[in-house]
Amino acid sequence: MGLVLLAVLPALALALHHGLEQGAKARAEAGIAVNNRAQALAAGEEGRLAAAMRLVESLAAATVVRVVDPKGCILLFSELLRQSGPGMANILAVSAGGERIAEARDAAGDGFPPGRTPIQTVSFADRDWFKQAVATKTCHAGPFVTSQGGRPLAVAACPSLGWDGEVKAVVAAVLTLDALAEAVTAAPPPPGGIVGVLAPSGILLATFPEKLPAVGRQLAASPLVRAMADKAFGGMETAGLDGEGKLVGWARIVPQRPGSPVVFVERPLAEAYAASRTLLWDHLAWLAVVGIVGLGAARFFGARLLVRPIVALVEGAEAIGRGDFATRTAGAPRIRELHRLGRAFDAMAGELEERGRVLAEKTAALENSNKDLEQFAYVASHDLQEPLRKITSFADLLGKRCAGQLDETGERYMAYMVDGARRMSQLINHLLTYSRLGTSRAAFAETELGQALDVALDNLELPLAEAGASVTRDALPAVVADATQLAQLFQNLVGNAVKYRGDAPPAVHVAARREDDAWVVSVADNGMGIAPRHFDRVFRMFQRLTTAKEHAGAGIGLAFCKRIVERHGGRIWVESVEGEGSTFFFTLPDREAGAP
Amino acid sequence: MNAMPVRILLMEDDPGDVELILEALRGSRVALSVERVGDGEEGMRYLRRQGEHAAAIRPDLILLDLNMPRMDGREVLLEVKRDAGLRSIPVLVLTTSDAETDIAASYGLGANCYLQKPLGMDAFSRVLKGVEDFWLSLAKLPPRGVVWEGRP
Repeated sequence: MGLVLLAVLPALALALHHGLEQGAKARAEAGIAVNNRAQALAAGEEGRLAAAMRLVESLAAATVVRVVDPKGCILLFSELLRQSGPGMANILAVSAGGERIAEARDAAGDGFPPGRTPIQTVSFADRDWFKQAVATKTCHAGPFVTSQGGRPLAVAACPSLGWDGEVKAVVAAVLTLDALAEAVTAAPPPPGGIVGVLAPSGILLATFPEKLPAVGRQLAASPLVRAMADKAFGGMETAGLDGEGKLVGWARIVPQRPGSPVVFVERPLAEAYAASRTLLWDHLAWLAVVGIVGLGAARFFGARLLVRPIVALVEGAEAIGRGDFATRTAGAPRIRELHRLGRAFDAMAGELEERGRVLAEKTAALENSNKDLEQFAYVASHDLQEPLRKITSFADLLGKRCAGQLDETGERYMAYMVDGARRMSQLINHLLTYSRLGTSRAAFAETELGQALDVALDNLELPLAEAGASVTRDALPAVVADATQLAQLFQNLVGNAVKYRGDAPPAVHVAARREDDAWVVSVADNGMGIAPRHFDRVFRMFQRLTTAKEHAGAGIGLAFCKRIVERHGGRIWVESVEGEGSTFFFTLPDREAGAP
Repeated sequence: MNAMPVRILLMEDDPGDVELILEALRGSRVALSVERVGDGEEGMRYLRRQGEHAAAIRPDLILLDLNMPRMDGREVLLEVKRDAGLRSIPVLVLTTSDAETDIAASYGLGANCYLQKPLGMDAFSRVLKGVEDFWLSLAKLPPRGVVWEGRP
């Protein structure tokens, strides 16, 4: 299951990353949309301004103005005002002296607040637009300012020049943002959104569709206003007019002119990014669905295709571990590698089964051979001894009965006969003992090496005393072994040291040292020593290095020792310098107490 | 010293051994009468007074060889010690074997003594001298005619 999760996790992470990316894209798109809206509104306004400018320009060239025909002007102006729509509030013609020639007004009528001269004549001579038009003799559009009625208005003025090039009159029109308001009303921003117009001075001129309290205030300190002053168009996330987080896009009405007002569109962040958030949630929802379905499928198919065959293999391996070599993997897994593994496993199990069978056969053969050996031991102890006993006994009897009837030669022959039979009997006895070493059923138990040595020395008391031998020892460990056999081992080794002594009184030293997981015991003497070429031979049965006359013995002691050590899982060897002494080493590996 | 000679039943298939045993017992201070059978089956017929041994007399002591044809010493031991009427007769195993299994089996089957036939005439004589000294002199053998038939 964990493995499956591991496989699915990267896919989930990838999907999540994709979802986030899609979200970011949606956010960027929202930013672009709000900017586009601002630019479209600004462009519309720019077009209207330009159209108004052209209108004013052409009016300034109109005959009715140049001839100063008030009635004609009023008719023309009113008609044009009606046609021009909401972008224009008033059209006014003023004489070169600043007096009103004609004026057409919209409903609000606050376009040109009439100024009064001291003699109560209406005069516009002190107005900036008038002065500028007269002074420069060119058309000019003023900045938007808020009228007394609270309406943002701007004046566009053109001089009407006579044939002589002098200013005869000035035509002015009041431009409003009403067209923008209508455009916004026609396509209102989403709930919470607002469209605003900001004067380059930092004063908020208007907001649509509703008028916010901030209108008319100086906002130059806000980061948004600073950003708007810098760039002709752009967008950003910032605190909006109401202090909430907003996505804002803006565009200057006349992009080339830094003094032009800016149209901006605010959308609440939550609303602006709703699409991206929805997209993200959609992604997460799909992610969850796909993840759950994927995990379920992985679990289902994983269990069928992967886990079950592996569990079967594990169970098979455990069964083989218990010794059930007949185990085979059931069915062929569908995954190729598992299929191969299963076949390899079956081949291994088959091999093991075959080996187990061969081993069982060999074990049976060994058991048979062991039984034969036991049978031999019995035969040796009884059936082989029987005739020998007969020979010696009757030879003895004959010797007694016929004493005096045999000459010296006859008696010597009889002695050879008896001696031969006795020695043969001895050999049989040794063989018997040797064979019994392997079939001993004594259990291995915790044994003090020192105590085994004590037993051996007790048995050797007489020969040791006769030879004047001294036996010393280091601290000896406790081992798990057959105590009786260990005593026999020491008895043979120490006995040999005394039997094959040098000129000096025998001195034997027994020591033990630790080596890995075994004890290495050494029995060192100062005896006659052994030539290196005989190091192996001494451990073979009935191999003697000296004649029977020199040293009594059947040549079986060290073969005994070897068998005993090997039965304990150890090794025996000798190191010796001829004439200086020999050291016999044997190892006793650590083992659990119990049957041998 | 008993007025009546001690009756010994010798179960031994080997004529040489029979001769050696008789030779060793020849100088005995105790009056002996030795009957010899050649195998276990004959031995059991003797003890139960069957067939050719219908007139046999119950022995005071049995000298038993372990390895005999037809019915060996172990089976004889089993039979004798299982028979309430024969159980009380001391059985001395006298054999060449010194195998531990034989010694253990013999005592396990109820042998009264296990002796190994030694090598050489002198040793042989010493063993039978020992038997004479202990079993025929020192030890009190079961009284004749009084047979205790109870369970052991």
